[in-house]
Amino acid sequence: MTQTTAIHGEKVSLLRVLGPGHVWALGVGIVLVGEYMGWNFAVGKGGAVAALIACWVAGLLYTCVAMIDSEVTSTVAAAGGQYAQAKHIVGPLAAFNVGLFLVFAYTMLEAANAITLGYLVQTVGTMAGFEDVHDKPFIVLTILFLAWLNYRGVYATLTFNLVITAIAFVAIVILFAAVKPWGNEVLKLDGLLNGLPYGWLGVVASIHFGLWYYLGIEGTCQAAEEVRSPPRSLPLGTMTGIITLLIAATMTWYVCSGLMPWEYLGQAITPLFDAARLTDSMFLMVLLFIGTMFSTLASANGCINDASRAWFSMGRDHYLPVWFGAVHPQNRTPYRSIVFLVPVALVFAYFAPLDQVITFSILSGLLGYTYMSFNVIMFRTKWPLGSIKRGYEHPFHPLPAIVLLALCAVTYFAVFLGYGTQLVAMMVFYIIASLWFAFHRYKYVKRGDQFTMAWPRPQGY
Amino acid sequence: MSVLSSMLVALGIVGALGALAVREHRLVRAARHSLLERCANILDGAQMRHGRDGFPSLVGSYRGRRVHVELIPDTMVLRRLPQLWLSVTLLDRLTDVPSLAVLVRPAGYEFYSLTSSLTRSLDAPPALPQEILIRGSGTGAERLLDHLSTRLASILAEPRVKEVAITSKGMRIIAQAGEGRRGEYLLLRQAVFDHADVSAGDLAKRLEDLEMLRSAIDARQQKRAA
Repeated sequence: MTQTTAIHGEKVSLLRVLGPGHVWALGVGIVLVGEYMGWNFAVGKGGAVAALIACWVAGLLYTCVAMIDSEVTSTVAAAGGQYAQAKHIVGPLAAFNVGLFLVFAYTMLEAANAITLGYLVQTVGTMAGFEDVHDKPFIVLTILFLAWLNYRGVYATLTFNLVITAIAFVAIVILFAAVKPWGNEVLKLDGLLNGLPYGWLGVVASIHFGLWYYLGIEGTCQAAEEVRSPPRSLPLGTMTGIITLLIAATMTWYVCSGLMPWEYLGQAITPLFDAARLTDSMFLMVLLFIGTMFSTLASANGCINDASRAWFSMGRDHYLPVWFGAVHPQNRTPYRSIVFLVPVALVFAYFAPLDQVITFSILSGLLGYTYMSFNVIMFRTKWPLGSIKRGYEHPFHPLPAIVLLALCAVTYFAVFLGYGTQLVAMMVFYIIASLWFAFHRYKYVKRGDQFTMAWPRPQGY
Repeated sequence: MSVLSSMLVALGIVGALGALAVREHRLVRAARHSLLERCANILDGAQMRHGRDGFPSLVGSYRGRRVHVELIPDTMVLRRLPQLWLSVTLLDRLTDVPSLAVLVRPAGYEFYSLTSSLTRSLDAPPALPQEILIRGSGTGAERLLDHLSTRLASILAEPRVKEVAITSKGMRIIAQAGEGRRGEYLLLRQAVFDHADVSAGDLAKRLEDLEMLRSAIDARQQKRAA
């Protein structure tokens, strides 16, 4: 049976074929890179136990994100995700900010992936006898190579997307089994776990990096229109995805915390690869090397693509100079946006430490989640249930929005504890950008062209 | 296993994957090459060309008028699947006809669209769906829109149609030919189109729609001349 719709993006003839399994696979696939790098900085903030608690609390935050995003996306299924939602539900200034959040979250994640990859090459090079090898050229080469692929728009990779995810996931499971988690032969959790070195304040601080376990899982909600039964499949697929990530994260935590002292783990760049090195097994080392390479490269590739499209869209919408809205005449890619964002990613990847780069990415994501809690309340107020067709209605409204807002507030505090300067710098940046938009750029925006959904007039207007 | 031999094994795996990638790339290009093959018979003197990305375009004539058929991969998407658009242009001098373009489901970054190049926004007549963007140039654009509204409505009733544009140089319909595979897009941002080959019936339908618009514009011109 063919489903047709006149208003929902370009999905005019898609079959509703996806089940919860597909949603699960996509969600896990996108986020798995978080297990290979970044999550362990939570250990440095409050100890290994705090990192585990942060992992579970962040799981609750993302459950709220997934439920809210499922409902709004199933209605505003037009292109652009939260950017398009903000244009329709809140207004141009919110859309401008959400667009910037997307660009910076992705560009910083791209830089983080490049740093990880450079470090990995340096480490393996040193092990292979090339002591003088340096990570910086590889960081630059990774970003330039992936940007070039995106510029050319070439079909650059195998169609092994789910396979690489499966390899990366299976690598974690094999590592878990190989360290004999049932005994103390390899893992030394008794000696290495030290409770909460900074008390409960450390737990709060580590929630900051707890987000890294799941950043991007909300992408599953984009399948809202293609699943056979959105009210069943979306929550089921997303929740089982989060549960899988929780299990993978817990396994990762268990292995890494049992092999490395928290002082080291809290600063490691490639924790799973380091854990494999400590097992003294060449097979595991090669496996985790491949897993880390695959997951970081695939993630960085997606990030360049998404950041450049968000920048391009804002150019086309006159939110930014329209010069960025150009398309390459032969490659048909947003080449100016791709090239413009390369030095931005390079500056952060070259000069900033990994934890700070991840902090900038998390902060941009967090600002996006904060916006979502306001967005859904405005959405339900302006277009109550029954006034427009929804593919999925999230339960217990407004509880998920309130929980999300509260957890976001806790996370802001957590970021402030360790990275106050970065938090303030990022906020100042967004405030200045908003002022520039409101007082200068907004006059170029064609307001009437922004609203493209055939919705009834919102209540109260 | 020594460090060096492990590195050699890893290099071997990378090399094998690279070779597979090259093979896959060639297969994809070959699949793209044949997407318009079934349409060539519809046009007289059809000539097939291929772009750098492997997508074909077709030039020929239909009922004595030049026609340009093109496939446009649209990966300029944000949180949406890539689209493959079929663009059918009927080249024909339409003297004294204002430009008019109707874009369905506008998102702001339809780079292939003519609508964004026109300056005047027009209100949608009741016969047309309301979630469309209509733009024109010249004072006669509204009158042309009124005249063509029922015909445009019948063309736009087909949900795959994205844009209908009329200028003094000719007319164009852009319609969806395919949509990217979800898995490839979500994980690696690749645009892989399944079953996107355009049937002769699809192209004939677009050409008939353009002919219908052409006849309506002719009738209007004759009426005005009389």
